[in-house]
Amino acid sequence: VKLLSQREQGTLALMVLKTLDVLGPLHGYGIARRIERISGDLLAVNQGTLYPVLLKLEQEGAIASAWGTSENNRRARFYQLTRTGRRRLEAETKEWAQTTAVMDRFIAAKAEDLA
Amino acid sequence: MRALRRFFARLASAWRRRNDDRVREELAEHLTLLTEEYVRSGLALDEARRQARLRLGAPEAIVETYRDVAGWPGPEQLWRDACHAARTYRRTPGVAFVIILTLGLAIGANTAVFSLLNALALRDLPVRDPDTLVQVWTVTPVQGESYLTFSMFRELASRQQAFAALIGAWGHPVVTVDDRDAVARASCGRQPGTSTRSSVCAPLPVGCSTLET
Repeated sequence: VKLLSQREQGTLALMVLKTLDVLGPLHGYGIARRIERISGDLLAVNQGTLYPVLLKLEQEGAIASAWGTSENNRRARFYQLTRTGRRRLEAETKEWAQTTAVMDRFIAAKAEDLA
Repeated sequence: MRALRRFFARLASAWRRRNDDRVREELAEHLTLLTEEYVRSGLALDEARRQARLRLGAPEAIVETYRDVAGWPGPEQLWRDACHAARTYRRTPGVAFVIILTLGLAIGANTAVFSLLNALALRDLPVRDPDTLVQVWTVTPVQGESYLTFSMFRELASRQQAFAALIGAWGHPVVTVDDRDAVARASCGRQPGTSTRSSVCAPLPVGCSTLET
């Protein structure tokens, strides 16, 4: 069962990395909430789809996880950015900026520019 | 690098038992936190729970995706991949030809090199006691390691008592010897007076042995 397309998964992964970079260690629920808050209602996917993405990032060494205690004293798994993850975040942020810059120019192009 | 890391992580998880427990626990905790949030925002507990479940999505579907990420895809996924590969090859026969040729040549070359290495370096010589075979050469302060001349060899062969038999060979011949006339036969191939690379055979099996020096 594929719940997210490759592109959506990649986007979500970058959002996760950025969230962990800014806010430090968080559990899955915390990450989901922050991402939703930052992206508004643009991210209208089920929050549960976050967990496979978290696992993949962990397998790739971008984040690490460990059991800890949540703010209401229950057991929760906390995720944290690794050094590899930080490097990846930098690289992918740069890539995104380039892609969006190119797309912006294309979308803003008028007939006379292309002639 | 990233893919390699993931490969090993998946390999490790295939070893372990299914790690569904972890994601199930995380999803349960997520549901609790979501419910609490909805309750705080003023919903009745039942309604809050319902909304939270909707927001989270179907747990079984999530666990299934999680499982796919965690370990290796099942056989049906592998079969689908194989079909996909076959279709791709059919669509671009040129590329497929080059890929198959490259793989074929690479595998062939590797096999050839290995069989050679296996025969020459890894396996013992096909004689009865290969570990009793020794090679003898001279070491002098002037020349360092060097060959024996034929006369030196003949002298050595007639006087020595340490070895069952001695043969001398020059270059890289394959010599078949009988230990009784080892000297006579082995000296056939060389010219008298030139230096002779000598092989000394300790308890050489009676009969024939092939010896390469």
